[in-house]
Amino acid sequence: MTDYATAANTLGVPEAILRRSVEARAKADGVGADELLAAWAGGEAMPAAAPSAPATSAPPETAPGVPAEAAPAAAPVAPVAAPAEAPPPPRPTGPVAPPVLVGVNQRTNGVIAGSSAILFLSILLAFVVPSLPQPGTGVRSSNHAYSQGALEGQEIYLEQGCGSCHTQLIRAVVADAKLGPVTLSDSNQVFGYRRVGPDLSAIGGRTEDSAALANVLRGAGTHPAVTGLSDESLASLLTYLRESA
Amino acid sequence: MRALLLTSDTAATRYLFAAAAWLAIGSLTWLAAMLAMRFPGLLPLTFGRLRPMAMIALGLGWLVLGLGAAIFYLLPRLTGAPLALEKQLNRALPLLILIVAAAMAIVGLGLGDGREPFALPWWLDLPVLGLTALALGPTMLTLSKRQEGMVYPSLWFALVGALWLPVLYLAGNLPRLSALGIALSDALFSAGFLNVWAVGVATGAAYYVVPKVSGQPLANRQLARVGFWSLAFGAVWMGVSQFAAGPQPEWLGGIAGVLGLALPVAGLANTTNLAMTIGQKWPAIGAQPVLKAALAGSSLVTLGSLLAALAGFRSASVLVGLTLFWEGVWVLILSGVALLFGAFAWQAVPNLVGRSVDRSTHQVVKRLSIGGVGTGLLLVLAGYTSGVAWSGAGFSGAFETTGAGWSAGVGLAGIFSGLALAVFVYLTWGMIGLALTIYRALTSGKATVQEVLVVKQT
Repeated sequence: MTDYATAANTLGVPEAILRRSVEARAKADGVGADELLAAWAGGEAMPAAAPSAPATSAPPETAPGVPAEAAPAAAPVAPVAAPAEAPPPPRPTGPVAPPVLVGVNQRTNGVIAGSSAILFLSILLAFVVPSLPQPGTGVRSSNHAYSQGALEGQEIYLEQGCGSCHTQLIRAVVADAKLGPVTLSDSNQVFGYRRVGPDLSAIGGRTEDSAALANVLRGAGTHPAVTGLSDESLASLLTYLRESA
Repeated sequence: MRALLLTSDTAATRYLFAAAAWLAIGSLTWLAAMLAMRFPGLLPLTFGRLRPMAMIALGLGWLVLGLGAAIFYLLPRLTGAPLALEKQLNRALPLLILIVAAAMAIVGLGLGDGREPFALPWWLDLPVLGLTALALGPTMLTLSKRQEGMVYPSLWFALVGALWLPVLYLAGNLPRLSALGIALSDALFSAGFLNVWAVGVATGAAYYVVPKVSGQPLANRQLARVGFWSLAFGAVWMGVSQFAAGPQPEWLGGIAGVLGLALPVAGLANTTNLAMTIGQKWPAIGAQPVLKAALAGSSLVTLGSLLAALAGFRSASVLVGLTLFWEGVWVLILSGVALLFGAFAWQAVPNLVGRSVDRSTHQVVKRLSIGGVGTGLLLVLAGYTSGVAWSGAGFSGAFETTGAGWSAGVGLAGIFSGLALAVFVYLTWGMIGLALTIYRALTSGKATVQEVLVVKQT
């Protein structure tokens, strides 16, 4: 009769965990539980000890099978080819430590199926359903009728990453009260992600002076200069901003 | 170097070292982005271009390759089967590095599509989708040849990370959506990428290295189960709430608020479990940077998740939505992931290359922890104060002129974001230090025993 309680006490491992590990390892290696416990406690060499690996000689892909030290793996430790000035340390000897990773005999199908179900449900709830057009609520549509030039400007707005600092999203909250009309669901503006700079939803209606707007894009005030744009591209960007009203 | 190529774990080794290089590049680019945000016009590139460039280097270069390395390292050890498709993974690595470099250059040249977090144009989405799917094939094939009957918590996280990422990327980059669809899909992908791929896989790696290094069995499998499923339920809901009171349906905010609460639950469960595992070895933790990094990393993730969950309540979300608050949450969680990645790398590198990491790891843990908490909380404060300022309508002038400068209009937020930038330099120092510890181990680390996976004939 295997005395797990004493062994657990000696090894400093919870008894239930030790019992599970020993039973699994004993079954895998075809050895007795007592024998295995004695080896783990340092009494004798590990039964069914793993073959030692030639250092640096066996690429993993050429060696089929399983790690001899099974479970958590790891394995026989072999000295690696060390630098000339530092000779490799001797191969460790002494008692083999018990495995510290503790698993449960189970299939992974449940994890795969469960996590996949959660993923698809999450995508459905967080993105697909809320993004669907809301029929029957005509007033909800707020697509801007941008000109071709403005649409080109919107492309440039996206490429320059303007949405990293500017939003075009006016929420129904006090903080946004002075910005303009609240943004509705079908907007084809660029919502943006943070307001390092001001919101640009209705900037065309707030700033009459196109020259001043162009100067801002060229680096006036604290706005960084938008570099690498031709005059045409800059004009398109300005058209987009002007039409965002 | 010859030894490195000949021994096992070649894919894990090569991906890990490639990831360390991207970590250094990404950290410097992120610092440049923070500078451009606080001082617009100081650098030739704007924040709008530098931020996605930094996210590409950190997200696709560091995290996808680095946590891919973690998966390739863990799989053979947890399944008892050799890593499948290892040769193909090794051959694909130069191409993957090229894709990340090209993506950075294209966004830097102003050819991105402006979508968060990577801003990649549609014609680059396909190769990047391949990059995000790189762990899927090897994971599933290795799993199909599983020799080990036991399933470990680390395997859950690795499995789900490999499975979810390509699907999330696809959902997060669909073309021809409405403005609302784009905003929601970007929020979904950003949150999923951070919480499932980054936090999930890094936590899974911590569940492997902490028992290994501490010599203690995992304290509580049930707690690990709570941590895993809570993370899965809460993963994508972070950030959706910042569009609250916008054109999204009312019910979405409610669901996001409730399910978002699962994130801190996951963080608390995982952190508690790791702490309990270390247990009585706690007094000796100073001598074990792996344990210290794992615990600090998980705590930072928990703090970030807690703030994100609090911001999910409507009253809070309308206050801090669209502010730097969310940038602070990202900094907190990414710093935590950096620490968890450090814990994995410092345990794995000696086993992979037979050389030990040096003692500078202690300093790296300190810099990442202090830098992460400091920068994150200061940005959170900056976001909060600007939100209060807008709601108080005290700075309405800033709404009305485009040239006045938004951050100048909300003075206190500007002070906090300036302080955050100063602390961010310290954090960057820690992130570069983390990359250097990995390289120094390879070039000048003291020789140590190397772990070689030995397989028995079947």
